[in-house]
Amino acid sequence: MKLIEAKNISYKINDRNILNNISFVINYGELVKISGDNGSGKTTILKIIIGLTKQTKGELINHNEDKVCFLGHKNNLKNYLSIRENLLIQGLKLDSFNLDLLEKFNLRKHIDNSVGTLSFGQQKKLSLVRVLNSDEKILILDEPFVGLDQNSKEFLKNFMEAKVNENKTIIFTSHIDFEDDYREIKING
Amino acid sequence: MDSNILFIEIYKLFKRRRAWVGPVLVFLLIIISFPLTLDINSDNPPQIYLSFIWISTLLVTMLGTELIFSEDFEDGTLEQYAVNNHLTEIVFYKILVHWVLIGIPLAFVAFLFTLSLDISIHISSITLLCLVISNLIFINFFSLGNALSLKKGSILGLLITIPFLIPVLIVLGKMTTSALLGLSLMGHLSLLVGVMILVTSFIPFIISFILRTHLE
Repeated sequence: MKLIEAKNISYKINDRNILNNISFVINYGELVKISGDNGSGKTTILKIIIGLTKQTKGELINHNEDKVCFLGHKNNLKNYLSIRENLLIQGLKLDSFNLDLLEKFNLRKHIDNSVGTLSFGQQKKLSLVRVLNSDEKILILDEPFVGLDQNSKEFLKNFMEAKVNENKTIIFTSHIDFEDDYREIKING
Repeated sequence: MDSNILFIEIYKLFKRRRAWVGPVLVFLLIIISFPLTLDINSDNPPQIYLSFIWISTLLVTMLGTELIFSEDFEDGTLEQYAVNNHLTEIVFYKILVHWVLIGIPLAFVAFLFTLSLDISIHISSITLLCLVISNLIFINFFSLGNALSLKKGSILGLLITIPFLIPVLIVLGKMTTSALLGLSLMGHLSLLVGVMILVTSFIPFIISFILRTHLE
């Protein structure tokens, strides 16, 4: 069942072509990786899919009417608040599931420290907690593996596979090649 | 209305004490220092003090709203709200929270200041009411200015929005004159309330549209 149909979409900004006649179909329940070189337009594609950006040419048919879980380049964290407060303002409870996640990510001991004192990788892990709690049927993740250590990458890959097995759709961008079963859409801007 | 989002916005601003205590303290310092520059025994009409209050409140609300969207824009919070179509709602709440934590305290500080200057309680109460209303108008317009100049520095947006606030200052001045002469204030007050309702109803939509273009 089709979720997204892109027909010859192009995106141009200040006379610079970011995307050139890109066509693809994404079905429900798929794990899709959008790959390409730096500046090839991977993030732009995601922004077009979630409706933040409008393509300059072509047509994008989005059959989804539900909310999506989106993880962008920015971490959506407040530097002046602690990990605990950041989770609470994101509507997440500090239940055993989340405390276990923090333990796995080695963040539990910093729970009352302000996020501004955490490293980039730690902040990335914390921003993933929101994604890992997500109930949405569609997850759109922009470079989710950047900044993660090997264990956390494995953990995230397993999580993504588990979600797809629950018939959820995951669209993500990455430079990293891994052996999992996903479909790849290559973008050459 | 999502009370959760409102609570989050209150919490975020409350935790950034410098963002809301700072403007109130700056206002306090300005109004304390102003009478020191005048001969307090001379016959300064209350109008001078009141017009000084209008102008300083305008400038301090400008200071207090300077970071209203920039932090959420930088850390991706606005992007999340835009994805889930909560942008107008969040703009409305942000303006409301800034009014409650900055606009209303400024009005009360100004009220206490007027009382300390032997301005009658009647005139001081009118000042309080006018400031409570006008500060919401100021915050709406400055938020619009900050949204317009989100990636370009705040000066540009302020230069665009301040001219829109000059008519509000004129109405406030007229109200002061009417109050001192003992004339009815209903006409001016209705105008001020009307502008407040109009501005609060439309500006959040305009701002959310502008923010969306920044997020593209």
